[in-house]
Amino acid sequence: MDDAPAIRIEGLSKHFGDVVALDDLTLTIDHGEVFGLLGPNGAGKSTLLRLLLGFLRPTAGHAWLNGVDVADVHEAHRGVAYVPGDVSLWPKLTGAECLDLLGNLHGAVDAPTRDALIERFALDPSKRARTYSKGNRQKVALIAAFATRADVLLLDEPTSGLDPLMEQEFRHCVEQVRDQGHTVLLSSHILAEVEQLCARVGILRQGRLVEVSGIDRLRDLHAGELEVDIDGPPPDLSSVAGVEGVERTPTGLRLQITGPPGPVLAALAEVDVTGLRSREASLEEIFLTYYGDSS
Amino acid sequence: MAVALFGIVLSVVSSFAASGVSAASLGGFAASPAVRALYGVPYDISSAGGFTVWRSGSFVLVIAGLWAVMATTRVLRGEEEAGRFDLVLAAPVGLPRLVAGHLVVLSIACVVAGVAVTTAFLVGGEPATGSVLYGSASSLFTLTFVGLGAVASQLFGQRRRAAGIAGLVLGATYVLRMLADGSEGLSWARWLTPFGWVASVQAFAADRWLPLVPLALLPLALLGAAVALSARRDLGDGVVHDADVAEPRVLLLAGPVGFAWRQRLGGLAGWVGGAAMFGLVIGSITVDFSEFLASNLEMQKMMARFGFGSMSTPAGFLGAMAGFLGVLFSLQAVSGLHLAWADEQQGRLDLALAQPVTRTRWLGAQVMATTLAVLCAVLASAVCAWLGVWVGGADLAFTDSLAASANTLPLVALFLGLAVLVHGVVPRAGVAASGGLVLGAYLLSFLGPLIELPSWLLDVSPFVHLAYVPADPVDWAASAVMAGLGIGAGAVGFVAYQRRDLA
Repeated sequence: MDDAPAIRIEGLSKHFGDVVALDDLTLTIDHGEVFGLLGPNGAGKSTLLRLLLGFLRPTAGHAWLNGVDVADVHEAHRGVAYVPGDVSLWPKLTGAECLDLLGNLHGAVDAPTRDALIERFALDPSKRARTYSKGNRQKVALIAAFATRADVLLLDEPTSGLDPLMEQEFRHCVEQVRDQGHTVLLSSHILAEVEQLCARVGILRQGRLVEVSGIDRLRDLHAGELEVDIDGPPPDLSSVAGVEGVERTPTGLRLQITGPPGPVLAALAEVDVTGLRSREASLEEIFLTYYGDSS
Repeated sequence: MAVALFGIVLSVVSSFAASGVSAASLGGFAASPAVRALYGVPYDISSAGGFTVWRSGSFVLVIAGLWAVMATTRVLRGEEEAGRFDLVLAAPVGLPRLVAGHLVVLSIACVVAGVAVTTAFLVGGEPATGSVLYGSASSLFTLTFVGLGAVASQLFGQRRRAAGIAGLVLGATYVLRMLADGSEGLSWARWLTPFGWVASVQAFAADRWLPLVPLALLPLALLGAAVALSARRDLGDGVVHDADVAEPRVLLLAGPVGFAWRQRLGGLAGWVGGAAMFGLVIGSITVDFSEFLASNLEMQKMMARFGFGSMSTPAGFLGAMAGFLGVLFSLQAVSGLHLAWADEQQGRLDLALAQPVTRTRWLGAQVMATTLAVLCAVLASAVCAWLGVWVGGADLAFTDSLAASANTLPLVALFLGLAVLVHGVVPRAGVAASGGLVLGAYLLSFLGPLIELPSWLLDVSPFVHLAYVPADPVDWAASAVMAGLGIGAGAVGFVAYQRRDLA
């Protein structure tokens, strides 16, 4: 069981009637990895997490957490913590009572850790849950999750509603658990968050995993921009390896390039280059290329 | 709802003509105190209209009142709780106007219900005056409880609480009606309740218009008060504001069973109080009634013919009331299980079930706590019925009183099992389906014989199979079948719940 990956998903599919929410997804996430799950609304991110928690029953395929089939909730959830994107609490219970209940249900919560987390997230636990704003409800779930010291954290847009200060605190917490060798599956819309925390990302579109790769490699795969000022007539670079697009500017050319820029630079050596500016594609632009043309 | 009222009224009106029950034979029976307490005062039961008003009137009014309370608190407080008022109020519409708007719609529904009742009587060939009078009275009665629900929705910040308190007021009003109709000394109390006002209209008998005045004034006052109160509170909060900050109470947070029990404590007071109140009333009229019967041999024979068995002893009468208790306890069971669905639907279950807690364990705890709550109500009704008989000056062993209440348990087990089945298979139908089954089955046993339905159809209703314990021996075979079906349905429900997707 120890050598089993933290999260293993084999051919997982989920249909709701005619709607295919998740289509034949296969993915393995190793211990100690922070994996980012990205995709537009309705791409199937929450469906995937709810399947991993055993809330939904797969139409096909299997999944294991720490080598335990996700259907075996009693075993699998011992090492799992979950934060949903929209936390609902029992309105009459106070924050402290909610945390107490969740801790007791889990069975192995460290009280000093929990108190420290309450402090860090600046939560007032004496208030009844019905008075909490969305951000405060989110904090309760985050505190409950991090206090369990689970070694697999399933986080579904966990920072929605948090202010920037608390979001920062959240990132510290994730970095901490990562340094302890725990695994995090983070579904998010906040690209800066993903960029900072995740080594690998998967992009879901319409229920299909269209890309899995390290963030660095993802950058390489995608067009960066090179603006070249040229004295004299610009050369024809459209057939040079790595050039995806060429655009005339008043002073020269704007090139979209992927991969290493060597061939382009070699081709440019033949003309009189008076200026050169390069810009890496932002993560945002990369995602737009995946999200954009929804066919 | 209007359709249901129409159907009930028309079926009773038309069955009266067909059955040819003579007024003379019914007269003494209907005039006896206990029967008056159950059905109301018979003003003129020689006509189909008058008979229907007497026989089904208070039943129809309770249904209408319950509908009014549930619908109003759902629209006014439930929607607000769910946050749907926020969007509407972002438009240039004030809270009082929004509340008033909803109340207008609900008032129209009350008018429709009244028109349905009037039409049913007219179709049945009854005089127009009585039909219009009774329809108007039912309409205004329903509107009164719309008003009550509206005021409760403004006073309290949670739908459950608003509905619970308005429902308790409806129940207390009904008990007051029973006392006023059942006892000569208290007949003045008839003027205290909307039930009494509707009865005082004496539709198809004296046809009096005067009681419509308080019947119209009270809802107007309540509706006005609701709109006025809505202007004096914050959105999402009630006029009665309870503390936002509290010391943590860790009791009953240790596991699923404890927590399920804690979730039900709030509603428990209401159910136990209701069961106690009901037990007390039944107990106190028991003596009156059994004495009346004991001295009237003719009547005893007739009661036997009506299928009420031997009600000439307190024990016999108590047994005959078991159906009412069965409804009460079954509804308690159904609403207790509804909490499990409410948690799931509103997403609270996600956090709980992300812990190493299986669905079976969670639902099992919910069923266990619900059962325990029902047992509390059963015990309360038994104690209070026994006390009531004792106060009335008769003798009844406590074990007999307990047996009368406990005899309904297999029936409750059946409906609880069905509720679990609904929860597992078609959770979205939820409390409406399970509660509907209870009321439908009761309606079948209550009105079925009156409109002479075939016996195989009547036999479908488990209420028909309740023995009149303690006067008659426990029907172990029927009890075993009911409990067995309940357990079977529950087991299927558990398996289905384990297999389905969570909401």
